[in-house]
Amino acid sequence: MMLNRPSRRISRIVADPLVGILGLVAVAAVVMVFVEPSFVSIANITNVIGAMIAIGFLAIGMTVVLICRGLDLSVGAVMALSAGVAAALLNNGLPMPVAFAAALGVGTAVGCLNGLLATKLAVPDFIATLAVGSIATGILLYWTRGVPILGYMSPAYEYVGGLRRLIGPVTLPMLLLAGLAVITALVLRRTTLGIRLYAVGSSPRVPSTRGCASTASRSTPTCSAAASPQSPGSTSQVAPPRCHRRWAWATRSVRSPRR
Amino acid sequence: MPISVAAGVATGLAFGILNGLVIVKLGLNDFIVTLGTLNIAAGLLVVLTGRVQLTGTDSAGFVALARTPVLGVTSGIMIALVLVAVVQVILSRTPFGRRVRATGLGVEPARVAGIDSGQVKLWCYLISGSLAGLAGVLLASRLNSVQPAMTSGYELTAVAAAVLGGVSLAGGRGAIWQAVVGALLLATLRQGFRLLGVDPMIFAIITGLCIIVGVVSDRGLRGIAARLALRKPAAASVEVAR
Repeated sequence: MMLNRPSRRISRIVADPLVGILGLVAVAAVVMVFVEPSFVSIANITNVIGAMIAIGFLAIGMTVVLICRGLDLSVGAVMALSAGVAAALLNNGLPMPVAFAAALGVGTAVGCLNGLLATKLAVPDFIATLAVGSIATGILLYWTRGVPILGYMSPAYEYVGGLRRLIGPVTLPMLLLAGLAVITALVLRRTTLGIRLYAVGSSPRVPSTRGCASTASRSTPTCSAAASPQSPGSTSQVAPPRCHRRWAWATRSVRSPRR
Repeated sequence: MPISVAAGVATGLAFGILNGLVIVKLGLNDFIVTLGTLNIAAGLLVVLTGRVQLTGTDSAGFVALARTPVLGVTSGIMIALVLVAVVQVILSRTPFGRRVRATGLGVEPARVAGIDSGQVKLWCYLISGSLAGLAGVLLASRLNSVQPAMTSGYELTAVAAAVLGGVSLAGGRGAIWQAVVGALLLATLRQGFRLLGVDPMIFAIITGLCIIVGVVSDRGLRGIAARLALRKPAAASVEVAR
């Protein structure tokens, strides 16, 4: 079937995976505006973005794991456990940086456990992260006896949680999420680690023959996934052309990392 | 009563067909599509029940469906055993079973071998959906109550049971008895802790630890077995060399 130039260009634009999902967001937003005009108000948009922040953090971590053909089912449980640790430490009078560091430490530790189980002990990612998630839920349940942790809120924490705004409608979690997204994108596209992640994900066996320790590369992102406390993605068996191009690019770079 | 049971299974069947059609005909990702239908089904249950627990059916036959003693066990167990046998035979002894495994090993080689992988997948989703429907009917019969979110997390537990038993997540390897053994392991752990009087709050921790230890030790044992199997021919060849 022959296509003339403009329609080929249109088909190429439509074929881009980003266009479909952005279109869906746009359609949903337009429908909402017709149903409820106040949807476009700054207050509501702030609410929408606020509601997406936790999922955004999880999704960024999950993206890194999915790129190297992993899966992390423990993120929800780890998120809850980290929140519990932070809240309990604040309640015990510790300063906020210490509480946050401890919460991030818990997330990173669980992520490392996931990564080591999946690589060193070769437990399937699905089973390892499901079991670890179950353990994390259990620890939180056993420790709190199912009683909610309350009373740790302070004005400073309200800034961190996005309940108070920094400048105009912008909250601190929005900036954190945007910063994390940019940093993760740069790491994925511009560093050797990122290249290795794509290489491992494109074919778990081939990169190791190219002198890149696939175990080492695989255990790292699981840590970051848990630290940045879910968005599923596809690991299709037949990679689309875009992936092939990236794979070619990735392997070339792995073969000659630095001249 | 038979109508209600049939309707329950048919609901599962309908969702299975929906899953299969969307995945196969529209070429969408299995994970995303079933995650979507999961939310649709959960939402439908909330709407249907109006957030109220459905309980106390006056149909004695429905309650007896899973609870009648048959040959020393309950009828629910009997139904499960019959299904295990039937599906095991289908998978291991029929052309359809071979097509399923071929599709799991690789869609492209299966296509070359003349297998319509799409149709095979559609049938698999149909079986999975109707078995889910039957499982729901049996659970409703055993508990005599239905409420929203009563089975949330079962989908992951089901995968965990199958994978624990040794069914491959990558596809193409596995048998029904393996999934049954996996499910039995999870149920044994839970019931065992209950009988031992373990604090129910630690259940989740111990179950998680047992799963990891189980998978790792299983792998370790298999590794030792493989090494032993390798060593014997090697020793024999040394003797021949002498």
